[in-house]
Amino acid sequence: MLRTFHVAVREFISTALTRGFIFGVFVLPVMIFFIAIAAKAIIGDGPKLSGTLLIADMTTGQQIAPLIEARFDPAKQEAAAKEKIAKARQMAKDKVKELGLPEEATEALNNPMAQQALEGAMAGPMIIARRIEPGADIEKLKDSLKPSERKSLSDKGQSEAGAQASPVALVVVNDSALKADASGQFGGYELFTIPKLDFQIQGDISSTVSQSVIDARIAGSDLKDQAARIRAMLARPAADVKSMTNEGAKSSAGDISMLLPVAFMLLLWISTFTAGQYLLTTTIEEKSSRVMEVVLSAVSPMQLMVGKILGQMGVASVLMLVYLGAGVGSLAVFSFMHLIDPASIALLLVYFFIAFFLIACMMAAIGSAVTDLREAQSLMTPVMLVMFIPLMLWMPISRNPNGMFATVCSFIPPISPFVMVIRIPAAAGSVPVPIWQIALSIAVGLASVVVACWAAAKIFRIGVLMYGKPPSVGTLIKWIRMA
Amino acid sequence: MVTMPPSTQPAISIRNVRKTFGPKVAVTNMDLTVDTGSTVAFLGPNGAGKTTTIRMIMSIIFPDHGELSVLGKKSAVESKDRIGYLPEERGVYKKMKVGAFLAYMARLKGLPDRQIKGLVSDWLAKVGLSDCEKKKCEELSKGMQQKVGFVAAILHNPDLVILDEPFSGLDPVNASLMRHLVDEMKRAGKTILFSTHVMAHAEALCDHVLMIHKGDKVLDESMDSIRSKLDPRTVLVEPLVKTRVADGTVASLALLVTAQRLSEIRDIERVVPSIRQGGTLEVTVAEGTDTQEMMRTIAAAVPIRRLELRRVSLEDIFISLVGADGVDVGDDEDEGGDVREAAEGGVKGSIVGE
Repeated sequence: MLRTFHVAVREFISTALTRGFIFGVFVLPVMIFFIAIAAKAIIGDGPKLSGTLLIADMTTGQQIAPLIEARFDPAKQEAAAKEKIAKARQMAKDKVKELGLPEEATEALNNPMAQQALEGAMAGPMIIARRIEPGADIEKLKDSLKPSERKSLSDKGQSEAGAQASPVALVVVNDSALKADASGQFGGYELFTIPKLDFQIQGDISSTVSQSVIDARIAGSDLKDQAARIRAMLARPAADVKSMTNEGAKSSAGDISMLLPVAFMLLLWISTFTAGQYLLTTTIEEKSSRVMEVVLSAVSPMQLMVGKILGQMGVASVLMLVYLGAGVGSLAVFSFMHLIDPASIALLLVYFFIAFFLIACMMAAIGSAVTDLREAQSLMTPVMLVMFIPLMLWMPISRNPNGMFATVCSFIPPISPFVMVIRIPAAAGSVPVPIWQIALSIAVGLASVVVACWAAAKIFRIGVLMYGKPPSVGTLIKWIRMA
Repeated sequence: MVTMPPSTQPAISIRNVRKTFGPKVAVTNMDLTVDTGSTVAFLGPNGAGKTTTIRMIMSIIFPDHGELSVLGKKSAVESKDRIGYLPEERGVYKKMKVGAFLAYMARLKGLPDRQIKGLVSDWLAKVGLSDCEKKKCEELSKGMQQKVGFVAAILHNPDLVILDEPFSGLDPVNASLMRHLVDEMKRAGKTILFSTHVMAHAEALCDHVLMIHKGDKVLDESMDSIRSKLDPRTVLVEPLVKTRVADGTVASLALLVTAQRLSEIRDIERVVPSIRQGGTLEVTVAEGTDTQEMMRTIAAAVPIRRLELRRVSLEDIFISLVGADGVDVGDDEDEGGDVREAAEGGVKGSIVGE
C-alpha cells in the first residue's frame, strides 16, 4: 500500500540519512581499521628498546661470552631487520600480482606512514652484549638493574648513547652449564633483568644465550665435528597443515574458520539490533512528541507499524550488506573465499529476515507502549536476557554444532536464527546441519514472525495512544488478548 | 474552494456507542448526528469523553459496541482522505523540516506529488510562516508549531474537519487567524466539528452545540433554539450614582443601598452587586415573571444609568449543565434534568465583590 510505503521511506530517511548513522556505519569501521594499523605500529615500536646485556662468564676459559657477543653483533642485527622488511615488501608485491591488482597498489608501501609502520613492526630491539671482566662484583652489577639505580643514571643527564649503554639484563653462566654432572645432566644459567622487561626481548635474550650455551657444549664435546648435523636434528619440525575440502587440499585457516560462525552471528545480531533500537527510539519519539495521533489521522496504526518496520528493514539491510560485503571482500583478498559456502550466505539472509522481523515486532510493541526510553528499559530487560543467550553460548554451539543443546536451541523462536547461523558454518567442515533441521527452523521462524506481528499489531494499536503509567509485561499480554 | 454538493446524509452519525477503558466508562451509549455542512461545537468539561468520542469517529480507537458512520462509510479509515483531523495531542517531527513535514502529511493523505509543493508554500504563506519552510520544526515556537499542525490537518481540503481544541495555546492574534480560517472553511460548505473550552469561540463560530458530560450527551441543540429556549432572567442594572469613581467606598455604599432597595421589590429573587464591572447590579428575576414589566418596575424604583436584559451566554449554559458537579467527580447525580434548575444551583451564592 502506498501510505505504508511513504511511512517506510520517511522512517528510512530519518534514520539512515543522518550524520550519526552514516558515521556509525561507514566511518567507524574505517577508523577502527586505521586505529588497528596505528596500534600495530605502536606495538611494533614497543620492544624497540636498546640497552646492554651484561655477560658474567664464569666458565673455564670463558667460552660463552664470545659466542653471545657474536650473536648480538649490531651490524648483523641491522642486516637481519632490513632483510625482514625487504621480504615483507616482496610478499606484498607478489600478493598484488597474484590478485591481478594494478602495479600502483604497491606504491602504497612507499608512503612514509606505511614505511614507518613496516619498519616499526619488523625492526627488532637493539641489544649490545658486553663482557664483564672476571672478578667483577656480581652483586653490584645486579643492583645496577634496579629502577632506582637506572633513574639516577638518567638524572645525571646521560644522553641517548648513555641510555644505550645502560644495562637491561645480566646473564651469569657457570661451569655447570657446560659440564655434565655424573648423571649426564647439564646445568642452567641465571638471567637477571630490569623489572618489566618486554617479554619478547626477554625471550630473545634467553633463546640466544641458550643457543650459545648449546653451541659451547657441542664445541666442548667429542661431537664438535658434527655440530651442524646436531643442530639440524634439534630443529623443531614444522607442520604443514592442509584441510581436505571438496575442491582439494587447501591451506588450513584454522583460526578463521573458527571465527566464521561467531562472525555470522554477530553480523546478524548487530544489524538486526541496531535497526531494532532505531525502531524503538523513533516510535517512542513519535509518542513523546505527540506527533503520533497526527500521523494516525492519515494512516491506520497497522499501516504505520508495518511502514516503520519496513523502513527499519531497509536500515538493517544496509548494515547487513555493508558489513557482509566488507567481510566477504576481505576474505576474498586473503583468498579464504573457499571457507564460505554461497548457500550459507543465502541462509544467513533468510535468517536475517526472520530475526529482523521478530526483533522489530518486539521493539515496535515496546516502543508503542511506553512514553520514554527509561520506561522502555524495564520491558527491554527480559528481551535482552533472551537475546544474550546466543552471544554467551556461541562457543559450545560452534564447537558442537550438531549436539543436543544446539539442536534444541535451533527451534526456540527468538534465538533460533542466531543459533542456526552459528551452526551452519560451524558444521560445514564436518557433518553439515541436516536439511530437515534447517527447514524446520525456518518454518518455526516464519510461524513465530506471524505470531509476533499479530501480537505487536494488537499492542501497537492500543499502546500508541496510551500515556501515563508504563504498562507491565502482564498488561501487554492483556492487550494482546483484547479483541 | 469547492462547495460540497447538497446531501441529506449526515456527515457523522453515532448510534448507541459505548466505550470503556477497564473499569472506567468513557462514553455511555451515545447517540449523535452531525449534519453535512453544519458547524458543530463539541463541548464538555475535561474528561467528559470528547477526545474519546472524536477518536472513535476517526477510527483510531474502536467502540465496545454501537454503530458509527462517517461520510457515509462504516469507518473513517475508508474516508480518511476526506477528513481533516487536528488531534488534541498534536506534535510535529522535531527533526524534520517544516516543508518536508507538511509534504509528508500531504503524501500520507493521498495528494499527488506534483500538487504538494505549491500547496505547502501556499498554506505556509496563509498562516504567516513562509520563511519557516526550510527550518526544522524544533526551531519553531510552540505557537508556530501549533499552526504547522493546523495546516497539516487541513491542507488536503477535506470535506469534514474535526478539530480538537484548535485554539488552545495560541495568542489572541493567532487564535483569531485560526478562527478566520475555520470561518472560511465553514463558508466553503465544509462540515466542521470542533471541541473547545472557550465558549466565546463556540458562540461565534458554531450553529449547533453538542455537550457531553461524564460520557453522556447532555445537550444537542442548534444555537438558535438554545438562545430562544432559555428565556433571560437576569437584568443588569447600572445605578446612577453621582459620587462614583472619586471615592470607591462611597460608590460601593451607594451600590449596596440600591441593591437593598431592589431586593425589596417582589419577584426579584436575588441581587448581586459587582463593582468590578463599573458598579453594576445583576438582578435575577423570579421564574415566570414578565421581565419587561420588571424592568419598568426597576426603572421606577431607582435612578439608573443603564438597564439591560442579559442574554444567556453559552458559558452560563455550560456551567449550568456541568456546574459545580464538573469539579466534583464523585457526584453521580443525573445531569440530564431541567436546565433552569441546574442553573440556579450553579450560580448560587456567588457574591462578586472586590
